[in-house]
Order: sequence, then structure tokens, then C-alpha cells
Amino acid sequence: MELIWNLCEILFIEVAPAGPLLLLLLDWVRLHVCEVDSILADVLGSENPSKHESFWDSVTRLVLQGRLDEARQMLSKEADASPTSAGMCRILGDLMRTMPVLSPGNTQTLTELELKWQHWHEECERHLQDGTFVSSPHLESLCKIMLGDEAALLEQKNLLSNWYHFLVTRLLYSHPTVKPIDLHFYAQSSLDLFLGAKSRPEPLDNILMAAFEFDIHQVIKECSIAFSNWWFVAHLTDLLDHCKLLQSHNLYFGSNMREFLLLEYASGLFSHHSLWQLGVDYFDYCPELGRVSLELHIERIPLSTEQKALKVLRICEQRQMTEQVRSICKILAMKAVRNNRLGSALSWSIRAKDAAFATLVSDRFLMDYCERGCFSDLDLIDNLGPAMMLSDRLTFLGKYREFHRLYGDKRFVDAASLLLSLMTSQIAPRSFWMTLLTDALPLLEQKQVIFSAEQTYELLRCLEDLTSGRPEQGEPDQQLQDDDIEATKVEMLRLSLARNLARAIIKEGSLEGS
Amino acid sequence: MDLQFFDQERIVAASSTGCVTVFLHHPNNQTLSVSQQWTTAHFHTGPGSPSCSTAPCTGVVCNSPEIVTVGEDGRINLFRVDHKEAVRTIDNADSSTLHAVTFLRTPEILTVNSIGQLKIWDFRQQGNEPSQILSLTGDRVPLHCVDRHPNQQHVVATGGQDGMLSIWDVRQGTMPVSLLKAHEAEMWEVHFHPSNPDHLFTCSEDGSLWHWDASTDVPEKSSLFHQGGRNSTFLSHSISNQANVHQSLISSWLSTDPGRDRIEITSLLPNRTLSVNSLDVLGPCLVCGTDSEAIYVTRQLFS
Repeated sequence: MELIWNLCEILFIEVAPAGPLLLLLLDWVRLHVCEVDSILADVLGSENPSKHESFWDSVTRLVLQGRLDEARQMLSKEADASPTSAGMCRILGDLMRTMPVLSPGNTQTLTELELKWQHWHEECERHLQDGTFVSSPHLESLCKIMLGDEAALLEQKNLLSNWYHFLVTRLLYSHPTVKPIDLHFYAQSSLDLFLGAKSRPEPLDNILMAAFEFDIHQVIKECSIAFSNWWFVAHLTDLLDHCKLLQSHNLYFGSNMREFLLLEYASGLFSHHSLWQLGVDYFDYCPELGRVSLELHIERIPLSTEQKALKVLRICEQRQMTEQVRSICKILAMKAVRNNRLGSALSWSIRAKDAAFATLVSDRFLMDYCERGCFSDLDLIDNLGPAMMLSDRLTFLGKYREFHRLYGDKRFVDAASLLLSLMTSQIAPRSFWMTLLTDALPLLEQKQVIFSAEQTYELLRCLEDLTSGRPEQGEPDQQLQDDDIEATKVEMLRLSLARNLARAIIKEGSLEGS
Repeated sequence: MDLQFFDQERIVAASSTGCVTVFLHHPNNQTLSVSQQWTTAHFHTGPGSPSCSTAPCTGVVCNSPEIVTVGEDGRINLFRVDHKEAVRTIDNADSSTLHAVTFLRTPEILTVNSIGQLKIWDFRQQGNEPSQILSLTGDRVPLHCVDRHPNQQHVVATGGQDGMLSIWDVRQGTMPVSLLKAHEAEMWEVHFHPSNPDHLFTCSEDGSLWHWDASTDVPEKSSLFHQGGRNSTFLSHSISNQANVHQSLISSWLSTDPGRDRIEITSLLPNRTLSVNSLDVLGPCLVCGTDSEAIYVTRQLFS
């Protein structure tokens, strides 16, 4: 992968011109074909380097990679070791030393380099013709390599190990001033020569060929096919896009290729249980479809713990995605209600500022109360605080609990006025009125008069509202039974109210202080 | 979701599958093996939940030989090592999620929940009710972490969802002694330094880890932590309206005189990344883990 990336950098981004192009390509090969270093270390580490079995191998590799200084040093060791070949080694060493290379910062023009190189080439040729190196086959083949002889290079196939190395070496020793546009000719021919007729190019070869042909889209396409995930392609395209090298393609959903690939990559990340946080950042950088995609994805992250849910919510809130916050909180609250964690459900609905759900939770509480006669989770209801204002039902719940507390504290007058206000202010649900009125009974029956005449009239009115508004429905049997209980209750209420009214009127009518 | 050392060789781990495991560490070959496991420590029961639905276990605290765990199911479990079943379980201790737990005194624990309440439970009592409830009036901000002062068992620090650090004195009243505006996002963990309790550490979802230094002996403290953190001296102590705090100041955390006490706060991580989820501190070492799959270790905390 790094191989392809570096090549793309050299060809597309640096856009190296004719001279430096070769140097960069040479660096590229040296970086990626690096067995030579380990072999070299072996050889130099041994006692008698020039007698080491891999000695000539390593020298050849060095020459193939254009590392002529190091090769010269190796040759000098050989010269020291065997005086017979000393002369030849010296000559070859000189040739290596005098090879003209374009050094960075050099003010040579390309034509100058070309000229010098021509001269040097001819000199090498002359030495070969003269038979200077005849007695040592190794040195002869080295000379041939330096002349760029294709046959000699192909002999070293196993040392070159791949066609792009072959390509670069060939260019180094036969066309050092190669221009970028001519690159692909040589690449194609190198590929063909190296692989021979038998083997077919692999996907990597196709990608590199596309790169040498300067066809960016082809490169991206080949990479997409070859790699198993979108990581490489997404990042490469992003880089190229930032260098303004990609003309915008209009894909069928309107975004350009960079965005498409980034979206694909980020979507892939979201399916991972912990990498989704990175996906969020990627979506942030997609201007057109990023936000929408994020909105869709973030709702669907599986929330196994509350901590994860909190992280997701924090991300949504930072990006003002209130709809998503609401829907996620609703899901969590529903789960909590199903698991009987009413306090959690309430805290989620408070976070989402979801009045409807708060109403649902309060209804659950009230239902529990009606069934069991006492409140569950008193710790929650007692300490609602300002969250009570979120929904009417919740307020009612809080106030009702307060009524119970006041009653428990024997502060009957306050309890009574609270109860009345609960009914008259319409925040009590209709179904609960009977219960409230029944709660009023003990207050009515107290020795002292608690409800004033006004208040008693109000209570009467509520009772009338309740009884008159009840339609006939349901099965006769059940209805009769219910009716019985209801009727008894209503009767008792009427009786108490009447008695209280009487006492209140008397009390208010009589002189104060008596 | 939580880890704690039980003794020199054993570690207790609380998992999001509701399972509590005791691991045994073998120092000779540096491996861990499972020594005991309670697989259904925390689970949901309810009219709508499936029969075997597990609930994450959110906090664990050890005081050899006892282990107390709390979870999203609002349940408190008291385990004893080498007993197969829980010694005591308080079902439905809370109607919301219990986020963290700490020991106050040996038979007493303190839990924090997601409606912003601290509850003290006494295991000597038989019932299932907390012996005390403390909370803030005002907004019910969920509390995520709690830690007790190492020497003074009545001083407790909590961190909340809005990043606020509160210091409480459980002996008096139901209100915190001080509220300090700290991080910009949820505070995940708060720890007093075990041997230097004037130092407090907090880490948060906003990706920062803060060191709070309330020691009043050295006026200017140089804070050259590794890679240099942002140094900001923090002057505000916004106090609650409790009047009776003119007691003798044993702990600098309980002080409510803003002019006198300056708490120096330093950020320990060089740059903000993803959330810092958890931290621990012992002696001169501090370690913390983040969402970007990195663990930071510093060995010279007070250099």
C-alpha cells in the first residue's frame, strides 16, 4: 500500500520534471526493495567480505539500485583482497565515480546532463569493447548493467525481484533524463519483458501501470477493486482532491468522488463497535451529504450501555441535531420503562425535554398508586425539583405527593387548599378526580372545619361535574357492581359535603373570635 | 466498566454484560486467570423486558473481603469472595441507574444515580431504604462518579453530567459544600490522591484530565507536567447558601472562603483528543485511558 501511495505522491503530487523524476523513482525503489541492506550487513560483518558467498550478489544489488558509492567501497575491498583484479576494480570504480547524476540544487541543465552522460556511456562501452574486464565475469556483467544492457539486466531477474525495479534500473542506465510522459512506454515494455509471456499481471501491477500512465481515475478504480476496505482509496482521493487534481465527476447522487469515497469509508466505520467515533469526524468533513448521513447513522448505533448513549448524545448536541437527541432519548426512555426503571425514564425525558413522555411516566406512577395504594419510588417523586414543570401530569404528580406529605404532617388547611387547587386548575386528569374527592373525605370529617363554604361549593361543583358526565357503557353486571361502589362513594361524599357546608356556614356566620 | 484491586493479587472487574469477575494475577508469568465470577449480578426484570435481559454493572468497590457492585438495574449487590451467591442484595434500590459507589465507613456505602442524588446505605440495617439522601435542589443533573476523601470519611467529591465538581459533607445537611464549574462535558471519574488528599484528579468526556491542587502551604506551585499543560489558576468557589460552615477547617476542600483558598488547576494531557474515560492515581504515578485507544502514564506527578 505504501508502495502505491509513494508512487502517487511522486507522480501526481510532486509532478517531478524530467531530471529529478528519476532520482525520486530511485528513492522510491530503494525504500521499498530493501533486502539489500540486510545482506550487506551480513557481508560486511563477516571476516572476509570479499570471499563471502553473497559478496558479488550484494555488489550487483547495489549497482542495480544506483548506489554506486557503496558499490565502489565494496570493490575496493575486493581490490585489497585479490591484487590481480585490483586494476580492473579500480577502473570500474572510476567509472562508477564519474557517472553523471543530477544532484538536487545543481544548476546543470538537462541537455548538459544528457551530453555528459553520453560521453560517460561511450567510455563504458569502450572499456567493454577493449575487453578490460574479460578476466572477471562478475566485473564484466557489472559493466554491462551500467551500460543499461537489457539482456544483462534480465539476467539479474531474481535480484531485481519485480518489474518496477527493472524499470527504474533500466531508465537509470539507459535514459536518465526520461520525461514523465514517456514513462508509461518504458513501464509497459518493462512489465512485458520482465514477466515474459507466461505470467499475467497482478492487481498491483495494474495499479502501478495506471499510475505510470497518469490516469488518476484508473488508479482509484483499480485500488477500489483490489483492496478490501475503503481506507486507502478514501484517503488517497482526499489528498488528491486537496491538491486539486481531481476534476469533479458528477456521480448519480450529486456529490463528487472524494465525498463519495469518504462517505463509504465512514459508513464502514460505523458498523464497528468502537470506531464509530472516528466515523463522526469523517462525516463532518463531507460538505454536502455528511450531515445527513451522520444523522441517519447516529440514530442506529446499538446502545448497550448508558455511557455509550451519553457519548452519542453529546455528539448530537454538539452538532445541534435535536431531532436525533429526541429520538434516541425516547428509545432509551422506552427501554427504561419496559425494565421498570421509571427514574431513568424520567431523566431521559427530561434530557430530551420531551413532555409527552414525561406524561407517560407520570401516568405509570399514578396507575401504580391506584393499584397499590401507595407510591413506588418516593425518592424520585419527592425530589423532582424544577423538572416538574416539564409536563402537566408530572406537576400534578409532584403536587399530589406534596398533598400526601402535608396530610402526613397534619397541616390540614394547606393540604385542603392544595387539593382543591389541584381539581379546579384542571391539571388533574379526569379519571383521578374520584380519587381526589375520596381523599377529601377524611378532611371533611375532621372535628374542626377545614374546608370553608366557598371551598365546599367548589367541591360540590366538581362532584356534580363528575357524576353528570358519566355515560352509560359496559356490561350490565360489571356496571352494576361498579355502580354500587360508585354510588356508595358518591353518597358518602354528598353527605360529608353537606355536613361540612352546614358547619362552615355556621362557623362563618358566627362572630369572629367567639 | 469498572475495575478495582481487591488485594495484592486479585482484581475485580465489572462488565457491561452484568457480570462481575474476580481475576487472579500471576506475577511470575504475568497472566490473569479468572478466579471467580458472578454472571447474573445485574439484570433487568420488568413487565416488558425479556426473561434473561442483562444490565450493565456500572460500578464496583472493594473492601476486602467484601465487594459491592451497582448497576443500571438500580440494584446493589454485596458479595463476599469465595461465596457463590451474593451475601445481600438490595433490589430496586433506586428507580434510576446507579452510576458509582464508594465506601464511607465499613458498613456504609454511598451511591450516586442519574437523578442527581447521593444515597447512603447502611448494611447493618435490615430494610431496603437508604439511611440518608442528599441532592441538589434545582436541576437534577445525573452524577457519574464519586470518591471519598482518604482520611476524612465524611468528605465526598462527585462529578456530574454537566462537568460540575461538587464536594459534600455527609454529616451535615443535604446540600453540597461547594460546587465548582469544571469540565465542559460529562465528568467520568474523580479521584482523591490516596496519600496526598489535597490533590484531586478529574477526567471528562471533553478529553481533558485535570489536577486540582488545594494544598495551601506552597503559594506558587510550578506545574511542569510532562509535555507542559495549560496552567490556569482558578479562583471561583461558588458556594451553596448554607450558613453554618464556620467550623474548624480540617480539610481544605471544605473551605468556603474564596479569598483565602486558591485551588490550582492544571490540565495534564497535552492536547485534547477524544474522551478520557477513566483514570487512577497512586503515589507519583497516574494512568488514564482515552477513547482514542491510548493509555497515558505519568510517573512523576509531583516533580
